[in-house]
Amino acid sequence: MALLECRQLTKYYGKAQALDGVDISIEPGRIVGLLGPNGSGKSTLIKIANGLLVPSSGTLTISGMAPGQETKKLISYLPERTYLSGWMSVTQLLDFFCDFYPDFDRGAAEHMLSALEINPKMRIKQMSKGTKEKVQLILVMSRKAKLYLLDEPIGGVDPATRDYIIRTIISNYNEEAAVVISTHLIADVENILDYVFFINKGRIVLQSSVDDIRAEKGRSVDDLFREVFRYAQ
Amino acid sequence: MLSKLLKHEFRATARVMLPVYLLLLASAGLSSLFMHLASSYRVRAMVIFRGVTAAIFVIALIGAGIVTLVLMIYRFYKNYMTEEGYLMFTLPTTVGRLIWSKLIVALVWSVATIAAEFLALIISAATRKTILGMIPDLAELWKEIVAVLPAGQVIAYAAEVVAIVVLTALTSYLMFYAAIALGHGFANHKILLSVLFYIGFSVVLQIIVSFAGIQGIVSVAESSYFDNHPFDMMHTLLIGTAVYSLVTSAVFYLITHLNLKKRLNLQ
Repeated sequence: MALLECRQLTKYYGKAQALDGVDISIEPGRIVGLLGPNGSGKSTLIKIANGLLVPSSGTLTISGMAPGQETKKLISYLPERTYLSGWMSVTQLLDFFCDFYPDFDRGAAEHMLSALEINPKMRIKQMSKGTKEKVQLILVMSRKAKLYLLDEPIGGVDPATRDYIIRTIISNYNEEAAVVISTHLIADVENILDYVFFINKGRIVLQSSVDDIRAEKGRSVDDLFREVFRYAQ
Repeated sequence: MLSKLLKHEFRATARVMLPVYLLLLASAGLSSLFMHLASSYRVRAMVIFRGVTAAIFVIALIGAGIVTLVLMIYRFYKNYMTEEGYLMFTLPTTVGRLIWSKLIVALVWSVATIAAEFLALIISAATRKTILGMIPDLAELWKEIVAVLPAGQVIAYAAEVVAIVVLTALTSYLMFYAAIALGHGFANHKILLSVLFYIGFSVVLQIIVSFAGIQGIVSVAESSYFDNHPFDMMHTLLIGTAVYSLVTSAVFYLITHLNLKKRLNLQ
């Protein structure tokens, strides 16, 4: 069964249409890129999968279930915004994740924190924006989830951290889990992607395995993206 | 899952509430101290200190209540309606438990604040004589009440009053939650809309109380049934008030639940 499946998924914000009849199926064991320019509907799709938004029409299922308490156990979600409470220390956040997520691997989180030289006693409000994003990503990637939904995971961090994050994502990859990465920074992630969806103005405009793009079209995902989304001069 | 939500909510609020109680009790102690010193040493400076510490104590008494109310409403807003909502609404739990966790914590701190204010008043008035002096008075009061009313009736009335107080507190918080949840389902002017919805709710409740409430009291007062059952009249009014609070709580709870589940619109 597909881990994530959309059927004619449509979402309106008032009169503005954010998603327009999206059909997507994501199988386990894959790292999938959800690629599109700003405002293309990537975040809306991910928010619906997390139960943060209700679709206007169509369906989205996670392992066959509509978003709800059961699907939230399966998904590890990195939103594009920092959601951590400023008053909390990293240690308190680890307690929080241990309490709510049985699949949270505290040892793995502590290992990554020390690798990125983050002091667990530090409070979130004392941290720079980039450090907050690192902490958030560590928390999300330390779960042994079925589906990782990462919304712009590398947007605000330096290239060295970017490399570390990408290696972390690959090391979490396993046959039962799938990783969905939404981004417009394609060059940085394209080497780890198995499959891509190009999304524009709420529609899936292209979907393909990365190997096919390279073999049949003879170019990188980044090049293809620039071509598909080229603006008229 | 509710117990874990409660644990973390208490952790998040205790870091404000406990220092508030500490300040309140300390200001009561200081005020009491200078009260004694000023009566023992008739120095001008002592009298000034007495005035200043008494003023601080009064501000602390009022402030503790305001801080409790504002913090409980702010926690709901901050934790559920801002960026923090991305974490809270993706936890493997239900919207119902998210609401109840905030509500229960708000009720517990409200009771704790009332208790702390009583304690502070006792401390500020504290000479051992005044406190011990109250005990025979209270015993006397109880005797007088029991002489008029059977003890069973007194306990029943007390239980009804406690129920009304708890339910009224519940309604008050849920009215804030409902207004905030409703206002934040819109794309723009979320806070302004929340305030307007709150005012709207207040007006509607005011109208209900002025018409239906007064009508109810009048019909109870005029009913001949109560001529033969004098205790029941008060029970009817108290239970009627409790039921009114229960119904308004349920309505505000449903509004909050529906909006957080179907119209959540995090920025």
